Amino acid sequence: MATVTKRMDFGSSGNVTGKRKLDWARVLLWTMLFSFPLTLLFILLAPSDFELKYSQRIFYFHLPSNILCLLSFTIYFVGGLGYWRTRKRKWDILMITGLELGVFFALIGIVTGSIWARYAWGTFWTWDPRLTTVTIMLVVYLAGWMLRSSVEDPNRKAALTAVFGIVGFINVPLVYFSTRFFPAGLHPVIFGANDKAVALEGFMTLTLVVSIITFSQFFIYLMIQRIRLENLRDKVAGVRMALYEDEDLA
Amino acid sequence: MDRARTAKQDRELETGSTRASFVLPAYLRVAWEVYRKDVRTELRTKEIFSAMSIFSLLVVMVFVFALPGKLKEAGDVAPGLLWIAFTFAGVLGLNRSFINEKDRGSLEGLLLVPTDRSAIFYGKALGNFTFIIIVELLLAPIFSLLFNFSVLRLELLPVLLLGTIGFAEIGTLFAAMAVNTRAREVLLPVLFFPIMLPVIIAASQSTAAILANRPFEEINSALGLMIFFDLIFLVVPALLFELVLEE
Repeated sequence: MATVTKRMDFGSSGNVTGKRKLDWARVLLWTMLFSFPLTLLFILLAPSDFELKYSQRIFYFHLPSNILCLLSFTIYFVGGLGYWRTRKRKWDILMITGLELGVFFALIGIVTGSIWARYAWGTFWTWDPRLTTVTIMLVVYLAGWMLRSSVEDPNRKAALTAVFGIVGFINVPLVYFSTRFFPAGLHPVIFGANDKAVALEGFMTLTLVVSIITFSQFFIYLMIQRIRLENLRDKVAGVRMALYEDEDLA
Repeated sequence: MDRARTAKQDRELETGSTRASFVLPAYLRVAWEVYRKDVRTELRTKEIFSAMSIFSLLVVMVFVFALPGKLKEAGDVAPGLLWIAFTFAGVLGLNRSFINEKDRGSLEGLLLVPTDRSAIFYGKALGNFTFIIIVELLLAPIFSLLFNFSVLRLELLPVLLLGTIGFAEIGTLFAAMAVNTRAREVLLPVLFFPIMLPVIIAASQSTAAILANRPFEEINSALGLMIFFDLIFLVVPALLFELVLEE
């Protein structure tokens, strides 16, 4: 924070003055304008499932958001390890990003899954192993969010968030492997050379890949913006500190 | 070796403790001393123990009155209720283990130990394990009596041990984390229960299976999960404890 106070530049956020830097967030925003309708087209054109009929299409929302949710918590974990090793603020920012996006995508995954389950299994909710583990994971990370908000000192906040991220990560492999450990559940195994794995038809696989790419775009966009927000907050805090210092002198 | 021994004896003379007659590495010695300190404090004040045992008794009584008078299948609910009672009582004890240190101002003193701080974790975790297991062993007969359903089976001991080890390890880590936050007493269960949930599920499932005389193979994966958690949380908190107690 001290470094911020040294180079005080008010007004610009870095990309207005001087040489115009490539703003990746803006690039992503414009490409998403095309990729979202394209993905929707793919989803509509994809063949319907033999048993699940039209409802199977929600799968193209369900799976990407869940993959990104696990990815976010992995990012949180990596940020935690980085903070543990270096005690640098940038790892702390990475942790917040991972934590918040993870909870967000977990909620999307659960809601889409729940709607789909109503048609596929006849119920909104059932305690199959993957649902159980996902629920536990979500509750764990919500608790992590609470932990973060109940510490005031920024260094301690980061330290406790890091510890929680490393410890809480134990749930992520549990979620991923739950379909393999407890095969009695209702979720199929999708990845890997497993004779029990559900085979997707060619065009379905293509659609899935397209929707994963689009969702990842969205994910990266959110990540960039979240990191930027935290950097701006740091900057505001630095400016505020500098202002109070001046007041003290006067 | 000989010199080490005399140095240790000197130290023992200084501190007035001669009970440990075998040589321990400094690290284990710190952990052991933390443990002994906790047990001794507890023996003098009986603060944690009395609160935990009375509270767990009250929880069981609430269950007895809240559930219909004549349970047809007590075996269906008893294992879960037993573990809920253990968990609630345990959190109460865990909360005190670091809050007491903080309030008495002795945490800073503890942090001055000249070895790795994870020694404090092991000492504290062992202390918490001892308190919780004693309360559990006392509660089980009372529970059987009040529910008119015996949970006193020797085969349950491994399940009880595995569950309680995980409980003490995870709980000690989170108690140390929660002590430095704003709503510390409230935050501990919020942090602790979700992470603990897989262990509680596994413990109550295997308890139910054993009490119903179901085959042992059925609880293999539950026991495996508990062993997995116990081992992970034996190592990971020790690595992170420096970060937890950082000033």
